[in-house]
Amino acid sequence: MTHSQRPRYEDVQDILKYQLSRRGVLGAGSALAMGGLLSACSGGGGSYTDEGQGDDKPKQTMEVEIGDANIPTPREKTLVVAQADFTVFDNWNNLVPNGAPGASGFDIMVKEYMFYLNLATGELMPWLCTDYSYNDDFTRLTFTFDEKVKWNDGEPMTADDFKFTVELLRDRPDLLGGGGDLATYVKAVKTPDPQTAVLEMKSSNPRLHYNFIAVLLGAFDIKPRHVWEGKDPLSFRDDPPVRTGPYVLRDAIQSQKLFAWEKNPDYWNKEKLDPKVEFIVYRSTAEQADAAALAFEKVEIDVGSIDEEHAAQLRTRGYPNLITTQFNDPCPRALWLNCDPKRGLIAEPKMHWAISYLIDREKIGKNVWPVDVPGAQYPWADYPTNEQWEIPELAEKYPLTYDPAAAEKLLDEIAPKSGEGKRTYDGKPASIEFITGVAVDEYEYVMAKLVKEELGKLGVQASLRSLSGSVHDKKWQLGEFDVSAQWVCDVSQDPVQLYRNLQSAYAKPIGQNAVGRNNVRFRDDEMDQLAKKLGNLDPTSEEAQPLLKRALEIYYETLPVIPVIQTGYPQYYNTTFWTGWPTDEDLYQVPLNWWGHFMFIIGRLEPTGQAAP
Amino acid sequence: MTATTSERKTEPSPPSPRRPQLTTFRALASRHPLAAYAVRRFGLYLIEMWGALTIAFFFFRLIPGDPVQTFIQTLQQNYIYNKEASAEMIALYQEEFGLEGNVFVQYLRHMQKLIFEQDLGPSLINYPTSAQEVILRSLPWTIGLLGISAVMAWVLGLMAGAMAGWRRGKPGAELATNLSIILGHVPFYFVALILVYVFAYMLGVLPPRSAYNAAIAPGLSLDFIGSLLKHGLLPAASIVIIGVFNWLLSTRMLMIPVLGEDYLTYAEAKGLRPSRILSRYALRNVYLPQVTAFGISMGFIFNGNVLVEQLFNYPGLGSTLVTAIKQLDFNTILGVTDMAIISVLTVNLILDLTLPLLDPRVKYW
Repeated sequence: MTHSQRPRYEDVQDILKYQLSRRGVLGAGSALAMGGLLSACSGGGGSYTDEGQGDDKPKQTMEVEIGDANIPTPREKTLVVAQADFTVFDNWNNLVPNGAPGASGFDIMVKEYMFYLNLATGELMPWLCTDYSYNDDFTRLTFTFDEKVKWNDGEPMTADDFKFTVELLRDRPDLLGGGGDLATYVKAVKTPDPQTAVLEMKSSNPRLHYNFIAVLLGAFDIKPRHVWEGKDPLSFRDDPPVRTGPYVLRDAIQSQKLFAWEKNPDYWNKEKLDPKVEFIVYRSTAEQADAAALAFEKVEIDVGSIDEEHAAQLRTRGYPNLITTQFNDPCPRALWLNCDPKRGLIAEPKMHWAISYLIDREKIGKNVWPVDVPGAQYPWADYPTNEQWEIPELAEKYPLTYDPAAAEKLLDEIAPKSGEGKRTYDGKPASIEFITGVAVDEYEYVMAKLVKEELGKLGVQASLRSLSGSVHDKKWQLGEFDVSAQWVCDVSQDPVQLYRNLQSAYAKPIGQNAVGRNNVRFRDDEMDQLAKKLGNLDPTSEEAQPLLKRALEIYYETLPVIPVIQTGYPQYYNTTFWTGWPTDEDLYQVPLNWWGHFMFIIGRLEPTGQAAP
Repeated sequence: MTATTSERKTEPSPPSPRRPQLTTFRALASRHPLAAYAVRRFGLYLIEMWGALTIAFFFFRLIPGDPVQTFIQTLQQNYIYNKEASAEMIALYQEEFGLEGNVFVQYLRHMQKLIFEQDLGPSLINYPTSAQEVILRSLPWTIGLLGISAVMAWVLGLMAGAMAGWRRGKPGAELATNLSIILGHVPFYFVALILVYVFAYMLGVLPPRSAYNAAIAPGLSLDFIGSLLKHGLLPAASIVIIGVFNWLLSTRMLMIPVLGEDYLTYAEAKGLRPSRILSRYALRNVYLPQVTAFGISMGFIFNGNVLVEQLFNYPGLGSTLVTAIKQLDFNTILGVTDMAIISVLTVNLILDLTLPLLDPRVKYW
């Protein structure tokens, strides 16, 4: 899977870093030779598909050759996922850097969460908990835990484990996930009975529960008190991990770069989830995209390891066992615009709109992104759960359209042309510096390049630089950029998350570390007040609606971040050994194999009866 | 004035306080020339090592970007609402990873820990494991595969080169020489790709990647050793094939001038068997430069064969280095680089000191 096919959010550091390597020297050198393999390797073998064969699709006549997956478990009983590159094999402590490796299976079917929000359907699924509730003034949040829950070592999980974990994180800001909202809001955790936990807050917060719902990737990870108590959380390795999920660690093989998980025979929630898959292997996939795609073709891997380019080749060749399922990333691609007056022209709100008018969203969605995606009007993903935040009246008033003439008119107002046809701002040539953290052939780069060229046509000097991840991040945090071409990931549950991040209090002077908040140095007194008020209101309440509307209007007036396109990411599944995958027609769950929600997909899989080679 | 001058001429000058020491040193050196050479050579070794370690440190540390900040920022996004905590945490881990302060302060701390504590600091790619432990885990795989392959290539190349030189003008020798000229400069990863294509995908007789069969538990069992050899065959072959051609060519080049030497004619006149003349008279005069060259080439074992490890998904030092570079894990990067520097310099030091044992004609005094 290439860089572009992966959502860029959450912890997928491994994935992102891994992706960089794909585009390295190795890939270039080996791609030439390995490319021939794709066309050379086919032969006899079993085949199965649950994908329909319409007239418009190539006939699925190719025979599937099954290769040796080289895994420590019986292939026909094993689901093989290859998504990331692993470096850590003996540490499951996710409170320290590079502890529990992401996309290794641990976050998916070993850890379980209190609630899951299924973004594909909008359903909130209570899991470790049965429900949550606030008191009237949002100063007390009560969780009720399912009394059946037990750890994979047989001990019961209770509210006391929750209390232990909350207090550990609240009091230890040096731990990953420590401090933050828990330190700001949680005064005390009370456990009146083993199934009830009450968070008493220092001040009202109607959103504290967001921390405990798996919406994107995962959520709050409850630690077993009987395992963690008395351990130093900075050095404890938590190996093997004791959690509540339906699978337990069987092997972590560093020299093979794989993790093998096996079914927990004493899983607490078999009534609702009793997977047919006996073993799951998460392995590092080949560094070269061609070799990785070949592994998928030869069914050495069931999920992941292939990108759209290679998937398209397989479809063309009539590969019968490929299912492609589209799912939008939670982060629309976007341009972030520096609002600090010291940056000159780019701080002008009219300049923000001029840039927005120069974005041809239709062209980017159809020609730049590898699959057709719509333009984005709001700074959040177009999930069913986000529809409630849309305000059509404002979208109509502030349509994000491609209109170079309107852009030129705005530029004439703020940066008029000199006699030589070049624009000037504040007596100096008008110039804009774009940066991006992706490589020059990646989609965000191309997206920014198109806008840069449009600016050039209108007489604004623009430059675009592709920076390595850490260099880009440094400039991003220090505010040393005009426009950063990337994505907007601030809204997972409601737009107030974005507005709160844009508060003036977080706007650091250029050159100071923004530490992940308000990197564009946006300042607006009214927005500050709205964010503060909305922060204490249930966003679905009637009282919040006019405030939400006004906040969105200020957002449109100032456009500190311009949404460009919704981000579609196809996911690929091989049906040779397993079927029951989510499809475009039956998208019953978020189909991303590195999100916690993938546990429910594993629960739906059925063996095809295909024998191992 | 004259008297004074005369007095000065005749008066013995007062002894310099250093002169007796120098004299003693020279006397000692003249009595123990090998020891004196060893001391001088060791001093040079230390200076070379300091220079190389310093250059390596600044080379990597001047790469822009802050790996800790980038890494923690990304991880923090798991928790969406906990971003305020990250400034404090970044400072904590910058100190932990030796990244606080300016680059000179970092350098002094790095050298102090390296020299006096033999501590490279924690590894970012496998925190909180130390960088040296991460390196030591990968090292056996690299030595096992690349070390043995390099030795095999050297031995075979030396023998083949000696034969090619000895039988110069014969069709077999000419074929080998011309093949070496053609193939000696083909990148070994390209050969590796061809081998994978032919033996793993076309014929399907050898595995295309990994170090062993994951279904077999590592240990001293025959199954495991067999699997290890089977999986190591293709990567080893790619190194050995190209290595043999290279060593063949250079050995042949060294062999040819030796063949015209009088002592070979004399040996022949004595009626010695050709094989004895080749092995005891010709080859012994050829392999010394090759021993030195092999010592220099040791560095490639640590960093030159990264591509082969990557291609075959082999869990060696090269793969660890690539992963560390991707995440800007300075401690691990420097650890691997420092190890390569120390190994190459030490091997060369040992070779320099032991050459007199290999060739009695070599004298340093």
